[in-house]
Amino acid sequence: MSAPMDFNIPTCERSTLKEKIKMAHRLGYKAVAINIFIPELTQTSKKKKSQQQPTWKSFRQLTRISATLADVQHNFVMSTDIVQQYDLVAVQPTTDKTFYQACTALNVDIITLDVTEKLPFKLKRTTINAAVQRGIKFEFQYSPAIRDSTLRKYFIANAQQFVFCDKGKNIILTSGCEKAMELRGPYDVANLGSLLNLNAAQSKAAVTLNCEALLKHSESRRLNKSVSKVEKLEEIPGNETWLLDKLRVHSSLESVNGGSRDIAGIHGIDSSDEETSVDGPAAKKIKLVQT
Amino acid sequence: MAASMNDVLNTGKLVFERSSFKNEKENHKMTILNQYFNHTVQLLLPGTEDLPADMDTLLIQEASFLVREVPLSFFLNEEFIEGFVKSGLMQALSVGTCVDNENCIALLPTGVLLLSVCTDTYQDIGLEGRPSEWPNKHVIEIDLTDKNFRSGNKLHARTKSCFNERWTLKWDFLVNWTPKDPKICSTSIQNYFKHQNIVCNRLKFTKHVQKHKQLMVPTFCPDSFECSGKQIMQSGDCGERPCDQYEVFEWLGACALGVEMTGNGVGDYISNYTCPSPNTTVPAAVCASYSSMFSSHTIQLLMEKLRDFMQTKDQRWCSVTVHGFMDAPVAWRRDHGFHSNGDNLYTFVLFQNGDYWQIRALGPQDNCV
Repeated sequence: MSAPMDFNIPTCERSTLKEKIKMAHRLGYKAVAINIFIPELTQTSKKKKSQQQPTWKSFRQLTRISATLADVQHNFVMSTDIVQQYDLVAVQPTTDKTFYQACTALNVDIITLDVTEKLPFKLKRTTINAAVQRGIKFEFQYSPAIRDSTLRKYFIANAQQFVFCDKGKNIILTSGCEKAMELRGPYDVANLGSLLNLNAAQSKAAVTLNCEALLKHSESRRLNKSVSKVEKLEEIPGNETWLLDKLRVHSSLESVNGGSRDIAGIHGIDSSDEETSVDGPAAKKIKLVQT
Repeated sequence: MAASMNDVLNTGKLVFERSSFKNEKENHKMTILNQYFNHTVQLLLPGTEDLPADMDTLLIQEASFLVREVPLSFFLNEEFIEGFVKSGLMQALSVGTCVDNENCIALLPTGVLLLSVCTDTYQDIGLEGRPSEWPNKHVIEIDLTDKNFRSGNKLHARTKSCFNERWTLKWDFLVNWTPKDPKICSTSIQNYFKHQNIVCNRLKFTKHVQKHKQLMVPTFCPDSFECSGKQIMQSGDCGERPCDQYEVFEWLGACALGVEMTGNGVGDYISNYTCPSPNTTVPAAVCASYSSMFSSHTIQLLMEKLRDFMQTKDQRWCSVTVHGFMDAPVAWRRDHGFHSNGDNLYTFVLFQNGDYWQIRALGPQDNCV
């Protein structure tokens, strides 16, 4: 489902946040991520706050954490559980070295490129390609451009520079709004892409498809490089019970294996950008049984 | 570093045709009959004081219904197929589904159940289909009127198991049925739904009529259209260079929106659009707009009534615009997508001598036939 999503709604005081989420829902977004921004990475134990928000059917609310990367040595904090438990992890590099580290080594989903000033480092195609290979997307926020005219210049300049290096394939456009009035509808944001030299399909993908791919990437990041996921038989959702008949292990094999029923419930993950198809082991099992 | 804008977004196409109703090879019927899902009809009759009663009744009495919570397995019902799909023009369109983001369902009057699904859903449900003309969507077409499509048939069994087990979501539909036999009332579809315990309510139509006094209308004639940069008729009985089809189309749209064109044009803040010149003033005109779900059959009848009206009254020209649903998965028998807009509307400008102008406006993800 390529539904439009906005992955950067900064957290703030309760009532303003509620207003922003309501506005996002009215404008037609199907998923939002509420962002907690950490200016410096220190060894604090930040527990993930679960906030009661207004809820609607088919409107997902995710959590996201962003941090600025100033120094290469302190970035090990990004790999700790406290940070990784969030739905989306974003970093904003400020120097050449941190940008390189974020693209090649760090376990993150989004790399934010600052729009409030001229890019402090040079963008290299090889580094960007390394990030693209790993499924990381680059984010540009448009709300600063709405707020101020100097920021507007930097937004367009930085984004165009990036698109020139990357050919416009791995961008997401998010809001980063401080007030509900700074949110714009998904089709308007997609049109903004034409200012950044993205073609029609790429600009729409920046709001829909790339965000979709990012969700799958974040799921795989939390599962730590897995190819299959094991679920108990009782927990399989209703519309997939037909799978049980097809995958039933033969009775003689069952007695040999000691009747471990969990094996019959192997469930494949949807293919994401970087993972291979899951059906390999399960398909082989079926072949064995039927011959 | 400033870079130029290389790819300008394509926001749609305008297709213009000029022909005559008397011409035997006309394709105006194809345009009307192949556009199944029509949402709004707008009439503009300059020189008339009141909307003719027969056209008004025809549009008001359109029997369209909104049904809620219908599972897809309902469409495979033998009774439904024999009783409604095969014995009339049955059409249904899913409500509240965006054609670019979500799965859309449509039952075409030709008897084909069309599922416009996202790639993920297509891989999940396992029915055979083809990639859509527009990205990230697949189209599954199931011909319900096929004589082989009944129990015992493999495709039927597979479709049935899919709708009963794997894809059991329920949808809201807009439904319209025109029976072949004129003695049967088209509201019997409502009784059928009620029998099946499905909520079925008559769709409320909205009607907006605006009567003008002393309206300025542009001067044009059947030959005053522009083609390949040149205007076919430079002057004629119209006097100076008459208005071309773009100016007329824009003016028709402005009228339909109710734009104020009486100001002097230049200094106004809200709008400085004025009627294109040369223009004349007619003593009265009526502009009517009806919104509901209209079948192509109704539009065809309306067109015939309009032609009769043109011949009986001394009218120079009149126009009718029909808008299709923006979220319909099919327009003029081709796949319809929604990139930044989903326009699929057509306008007929009818002239006194039987000529007409046909202007079709399509969105960026539309191919016309």
